[in-house]
Amino acid sequence: MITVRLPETLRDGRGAIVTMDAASLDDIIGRLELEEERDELYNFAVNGELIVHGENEVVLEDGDEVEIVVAFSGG
Amino acid sequence: MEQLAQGSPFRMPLMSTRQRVDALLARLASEPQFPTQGETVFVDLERAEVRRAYIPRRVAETLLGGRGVNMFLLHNLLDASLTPLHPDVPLIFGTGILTSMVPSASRGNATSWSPESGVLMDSNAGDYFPSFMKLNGIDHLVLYGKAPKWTLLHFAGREPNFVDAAPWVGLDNIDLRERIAAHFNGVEGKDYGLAAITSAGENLVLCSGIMAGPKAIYARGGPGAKMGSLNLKGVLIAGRTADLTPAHPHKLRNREVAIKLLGTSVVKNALKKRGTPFLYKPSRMLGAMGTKNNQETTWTDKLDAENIDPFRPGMEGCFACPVNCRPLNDMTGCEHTPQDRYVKGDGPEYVTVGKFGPNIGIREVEQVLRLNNICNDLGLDTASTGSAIAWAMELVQRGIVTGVDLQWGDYDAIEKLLFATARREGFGNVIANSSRAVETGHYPPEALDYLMAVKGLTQSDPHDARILKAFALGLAVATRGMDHLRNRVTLEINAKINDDPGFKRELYGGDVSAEPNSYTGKEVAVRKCENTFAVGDAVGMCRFTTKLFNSPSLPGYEEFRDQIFNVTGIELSLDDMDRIGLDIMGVERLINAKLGVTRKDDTLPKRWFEEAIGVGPFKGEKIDRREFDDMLSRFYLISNLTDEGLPRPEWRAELEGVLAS
Repeated sequence: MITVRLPETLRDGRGAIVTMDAASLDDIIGRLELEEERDELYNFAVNGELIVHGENEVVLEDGDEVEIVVAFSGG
Repeated sequence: MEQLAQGSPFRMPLMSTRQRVDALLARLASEPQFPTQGETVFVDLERAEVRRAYIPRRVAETLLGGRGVNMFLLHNLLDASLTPLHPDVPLIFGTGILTSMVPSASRGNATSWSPESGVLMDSNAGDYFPSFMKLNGIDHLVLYGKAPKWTLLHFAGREPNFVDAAPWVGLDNIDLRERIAAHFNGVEGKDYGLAAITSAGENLVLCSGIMAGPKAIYARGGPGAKMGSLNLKGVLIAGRTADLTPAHPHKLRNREVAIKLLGTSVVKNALKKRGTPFLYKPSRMLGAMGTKNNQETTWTDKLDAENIDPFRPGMEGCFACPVNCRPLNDMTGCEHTPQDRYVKGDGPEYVTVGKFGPNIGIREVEQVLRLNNICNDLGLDTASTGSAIAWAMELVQRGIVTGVDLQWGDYDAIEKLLFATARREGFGNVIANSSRAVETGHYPPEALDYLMAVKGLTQSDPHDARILKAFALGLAVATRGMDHLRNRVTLEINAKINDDPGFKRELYGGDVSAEPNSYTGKEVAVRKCENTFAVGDAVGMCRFTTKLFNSPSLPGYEEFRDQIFNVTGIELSLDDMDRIGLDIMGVERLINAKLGVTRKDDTLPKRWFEEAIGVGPFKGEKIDRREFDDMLSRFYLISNLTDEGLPRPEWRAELEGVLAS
């Protein structure tokens, strides 16, 4: 089971935390139906570490904690 | 860097500033060169004399306005044999060519020779002052000479009044703005715009800025000290007297610009909701949050943006900007903070969260907010001041500085130190000298090993750039010193863009490695961002709403080109826009060359070459000197620069032709 923490802007009636079975980050996007909303502003963090490239290569394991983070770097 | 070397080919004939102004005025135009163009007003504060002219069309077509034309003026008026705080070194305010005319174009620049860094000073601010300049027909304001007594320059019509500023001397931002509003019986933002210094500027504190609002500040490089060196307390511009009739209808395109920027994800989902404090979390999770003067790179989640929510009563914005990205704060009723004048305020931005949080060992949101409010009142640049304090703390930690009780996270000591800095009292006098504390004899030379600065300017933002090599290159080559707002390839942090090589190629006009920690192709992205952002500054657009800064979808060259044509009638191509950005950088490098800047100054702090990141997904990452040097060479090559970082001869001749026009 994967725990996914969502930012306020992507909750769409869901809670801040949802759990699901998922093997990849794409799985999460698909199961949450976020294909449209998930644009370049949002990065994944897996177990507290930000993923900045190679999302497709990330393999999730049971117990992983995934967070979708509002990520920008100029302010 | 401090002074021009004898015999330098850049040496200009020795002339007084008045002679330089005379010579320049003789070459400027006496009539507007395009619709909406305002005057360039030269004010000799010592003699209370005012002269006016218009920037030639050729210069406007090359450098547009704002930062670009400020550089034209500085290049013509700078005598590098002086020192930055000499009153004959001018302080130049400029508005963008579209300031006040296009949504989110509310910005302007203050330019001079930096007393803090020793190189070019160029600082950008918004709020209302730049727009009121434009609305009153002033595109550029060139100030020089030392006023015989403290003066407030008051434009209520075409002629300024030289108002005795004695009643306001010693006042800081909160009191000053209240007293000015009462004295002139008006409301800032509605009736006038004000740019003014606090006691820190009066005391020539090198990390002080010029306040353009409750929080808005011309911050970087010591603009407050520069204004103070002229005995100028402030500039107040009232009314809306200019004829800003555009060359062609522009409102329909304005509407499209507003819709575009409001529809962009970073604006809609981040800036309008919480502002820039959102940035803290991704930097922390990447292991790239400058902590304790960059000895460490991650810090508590207690400072994540959502933890500021309970103290944010609303958002504010600049003139005619639909975004409103500035968070306000209010800690009324909070038992952890004194209920005094600093219980509420404007901000913080991410820079302040980082510089007054992890950088100096502070963990509590309320403490960061309070320090933010104090800095706003004292007119201190939070980037420079926070950096100077962190540097001092590390020197104390290492025993390089002794006899000073300054420990990481010691809130009470830090708060007191801010007031002491503004007054130049005790150890505050050392912090007031910012990055020049070794030069002024307060620290031993070995202290420089721990100074997080490039070209004498401490880092603007808290992001530790040992991981993202495009960030590192940008900080190294930025013309005003170690500052991210000149060229940061912010999208390097976004996985969705990094994982789409085709899109990335189209965005930057060349191949840029998907891996943020690779050196490959990063020069291409920095070049594109530097050009785009220079054009944005010349237009007057906010960086937060300029394409490539946090989003590929914000208004950029296309919108700027269209509205420059609609507003001014000047017709430019997209290639011209890119060329203008490059030209602005080229002129800035010519100015820096006068001040002794060479390739060796396009570098990074020693720590980033020698110490690796200790945490996170990029643990072990640092800057490889050879790879960095190669990347710098490639950057020079695609930027049409020589091996020493100067415009190549043919281009340089073109630029100098414009500068002499």
